[in-house]
Amino acid sequence: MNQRRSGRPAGEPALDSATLRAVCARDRGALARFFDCFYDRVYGHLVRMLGEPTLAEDLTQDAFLRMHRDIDRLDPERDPAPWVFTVATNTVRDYWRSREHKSQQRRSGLDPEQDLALPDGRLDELTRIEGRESEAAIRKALADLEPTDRQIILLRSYEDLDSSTVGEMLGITPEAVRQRHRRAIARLGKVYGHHTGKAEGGA
Amino acid sequence: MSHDRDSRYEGAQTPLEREALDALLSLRPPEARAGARDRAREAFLAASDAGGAAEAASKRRAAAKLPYRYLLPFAAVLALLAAFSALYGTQPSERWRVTDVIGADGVHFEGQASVGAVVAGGVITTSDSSEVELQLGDEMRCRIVPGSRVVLPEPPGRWFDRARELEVVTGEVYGTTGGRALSFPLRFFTPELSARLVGTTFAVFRTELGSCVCLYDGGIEVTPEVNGVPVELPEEHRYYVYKDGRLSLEPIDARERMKLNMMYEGGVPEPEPTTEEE
Repeated sequence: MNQRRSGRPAGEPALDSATLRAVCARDRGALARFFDCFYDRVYGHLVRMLGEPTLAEDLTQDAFLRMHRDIDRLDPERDPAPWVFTVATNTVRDYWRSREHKSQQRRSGLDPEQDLALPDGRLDELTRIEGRESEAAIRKALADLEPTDRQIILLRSYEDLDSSTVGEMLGITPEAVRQRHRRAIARLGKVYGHHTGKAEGGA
Repeated sequence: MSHDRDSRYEGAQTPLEREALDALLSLRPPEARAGARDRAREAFLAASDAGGAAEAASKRRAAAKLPYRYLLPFAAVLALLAAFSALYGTQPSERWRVTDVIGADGVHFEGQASVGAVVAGGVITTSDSSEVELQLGDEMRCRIVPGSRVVLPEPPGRWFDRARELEVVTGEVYGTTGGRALSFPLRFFTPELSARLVGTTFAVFRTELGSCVCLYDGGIEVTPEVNGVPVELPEEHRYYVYKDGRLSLEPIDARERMKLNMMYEGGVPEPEPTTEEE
């Protein structure tokens, strides 16, 4: 089995400075390349953060509209991925804080301030969509994590953004990112072990 | 692929943690429905339609609408009051002040003002011959000993946003929120007595072996990451959480007692000896 070691789709087109300058100038062709380059990554990230594919589709569209609105803030000389994920992260955060989300949580009997874990029923849907039941354990482990732990693992390990970049996105120091990342990995390992029936064999 | 060279595995310390990251990184990215992707692409490229598309997406998720226009004046007043409270209440009432320093050249404040000036929070590093003590109003004093690296939190807000985290990356920090030097503003009286509320005097170490919390007086609850079980620390005891998972509750030693007592009394601890016995 050919296992990819990154969440990034194979054959992702590169965006050079010239293309990014055209993106900032809102050139239609460049915008199309920018969208094609990042849509799958952003959608995948939001699915893993939210656990609801349909909601992730809506918020991915919202995120790209925000990017379009603020596209002139993009620095064409730097990798745009951190900025893209900052916008996506802020879109999720704003949704979680929204009245709509909290109303839905109340209607389903959940505490909107506490219950931000993935809804269990969606895990089966995700697994069916992926068609790989062997992924159930890690998906359940991700779902059991606190949203802040899940977010930092996805940004740091899955998207391979460095500590300084993640720190800028979350408004914390790179040292704090490393500390929280280490703690989140420890929690992920513990929960993953619980779902796979594997006990930690000691340090 | 060597886990040791892959930065995405940085922080994984056990085989199970690395296995969990392997499983995570092996996940295939989910694909959106073709219709959803096409709609998003079309909306993104057609900037003039962006407002309508966003509104349409919001409407699909919207709850029942309320007659906001009837509540608008009242809501505006409330909003102004809330904004003022939030603005005023989240502003820090105090700043960290440097109250003592030994070997100023060896104390580095990353991104902050220099020694002797007001410190707003950030990473503080001390060399092997430097120490620095900082005080936050009348609420807290902490001393960072030689060879330490500490992430000092921003001062808490006046009314809101008061929870804070102090991270000890390496080294030792001694701190007090009470003792003879400081006290909380709460005082209470009966006809026979008066009393003031004092806080907690403590130390936090991070060494090559693990981490340790020492309690001199007051109360501290320690939760090891290895088992997530909180422990209420008895006074004059320390709780060592070793990197290999061992846990040890034991009395504080003479050196720790001396330095903690100095912090409690409000004096300046003696500088570390130049020759280490450990």
